[in-house]
Amino acid sequence: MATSRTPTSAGSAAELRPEELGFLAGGPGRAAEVAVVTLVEAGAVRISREGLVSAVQTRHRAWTPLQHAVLQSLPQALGDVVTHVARSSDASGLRWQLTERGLVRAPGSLSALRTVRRVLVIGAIVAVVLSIAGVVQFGATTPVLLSVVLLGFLLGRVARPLTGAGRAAVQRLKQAATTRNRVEMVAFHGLLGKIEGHLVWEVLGIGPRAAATLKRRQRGKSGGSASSGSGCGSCSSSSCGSASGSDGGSSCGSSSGSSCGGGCGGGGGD
Amino acid sequence: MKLGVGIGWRPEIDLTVEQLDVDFVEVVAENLHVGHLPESVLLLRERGLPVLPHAVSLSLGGAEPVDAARVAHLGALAEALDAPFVSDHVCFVRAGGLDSGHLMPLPRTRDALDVLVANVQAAQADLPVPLALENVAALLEWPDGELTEGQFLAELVERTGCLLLVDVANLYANARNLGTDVGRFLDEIPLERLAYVHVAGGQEHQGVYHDTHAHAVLPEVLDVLRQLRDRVDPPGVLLERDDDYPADAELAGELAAIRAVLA
Repeated sequence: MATSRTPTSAGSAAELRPEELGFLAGGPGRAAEVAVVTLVEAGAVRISREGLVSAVQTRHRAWTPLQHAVLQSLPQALGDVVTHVARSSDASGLRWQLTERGLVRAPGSLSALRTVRRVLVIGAIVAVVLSIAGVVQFGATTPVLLSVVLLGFLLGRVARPLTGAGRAAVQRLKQAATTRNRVEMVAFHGLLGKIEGHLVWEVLGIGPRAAATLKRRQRGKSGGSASSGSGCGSCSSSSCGSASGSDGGSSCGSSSGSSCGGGCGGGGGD
Repeated sequence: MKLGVGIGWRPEIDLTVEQLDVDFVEVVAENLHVGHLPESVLLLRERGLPVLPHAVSLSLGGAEPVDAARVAHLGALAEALDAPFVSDHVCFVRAGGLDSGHLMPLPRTRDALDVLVANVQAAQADLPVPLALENVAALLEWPDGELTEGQFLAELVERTGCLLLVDVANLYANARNLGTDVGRFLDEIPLERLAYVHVAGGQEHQGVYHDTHAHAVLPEVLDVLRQLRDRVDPPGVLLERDDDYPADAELAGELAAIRAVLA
């Protein structure tokens, strides 16, 4: 059985674990939520009415590193468990593994691409200002401007946190994320997300007080150390403009239903 | 008052307790605030289940006067929960300004009994409901004891009119670690003053049995319950579990085992 630190063939999206899919769809916070829910489904932890997550005495089983991180953090409030695990080295390990498998772009390359894109945008603005001020002629700047805009657009496409394989995995997850498939549902929508008009935590039987301990992850802000800064802000500012943020879900969950399922994968944090 | 079979309500297992087939629950008084009772506890009360406050900090066997604030809290909780009675232990937990964090056994001397009786009477005077007192598990016996544990409790009941909360797991622990005679203990205590019974799990460590409340109930503890049942039909029996909570089915199984002994 592969662990989160066991690289498999690059570009392979086969046999992705729910936590990995959760990471792709919603970042380390989502992966942590999935780890908690899989433990609940396995009867290994309880979530109390007030949101206290505690371990159930069970025989030792082979847990994933993220599940192990959850168990090590207990007892703790549900929201704090998710935050703690999302910021853990195990979540970083999960990102590293997904990068190795060619599903998530390396934070370094993403950062460089975004820096180039920002420089191009600034250059375009300067060109426009200079044209308006009459320092240079419009005729001279227009071809350059068009080239910069086209390059910026292309870089924006390339600078998304997920690779094509990663985005394809999220699309497949979207198909599987029904109320019958509880873990996939959490992986795609997040605990604070909505499915078929119902809040995911309600569908899971988690109480409102417990759900209230979950923290909404802010768009555009990278959360813990596991996040590279390529959080959901990149989603909302790029091709994910159509994503709905009105579902009351966690920030990454809001991308559901749009074409940017992968757009939030690189960040989210918590 | 007939209570039936119950379980200790704890925050970690609130939803489990709500789903189990129990007739009453007990709450640790010090863990609750009268003004902010847990939703789960209120729900159980709405269902009509008795909720019994169980204190661990009155230190009734201590040489210092009883802390009026602690007694007031226990009384207020009893009123808020409409509890038929409250309980604490025959022990001391504080001395000289230090808190032991444990239920310390008392010397079974007449002097110690006089102090205990005075404190119990002081607490009773400020409580709105009857007080039941529980035998504790001890890892040592103070020297120069003048009474057996059963005689000590019997005289306590006689002088204060308190109820008894018999913990058969503590009795088993004392039998195993200190050689307490279970049959004699049960013969000596006034079982007609029995409020209810505690059952809990434990584990032996380096030759000493520890009443951990974090392990399964041993068959031997159920045997002690059976010996008690042979003498009296207890008003209630409560399963205590305070850590390493098992699966719901396992807790349900322990409750069923208790019911089987009582049948």
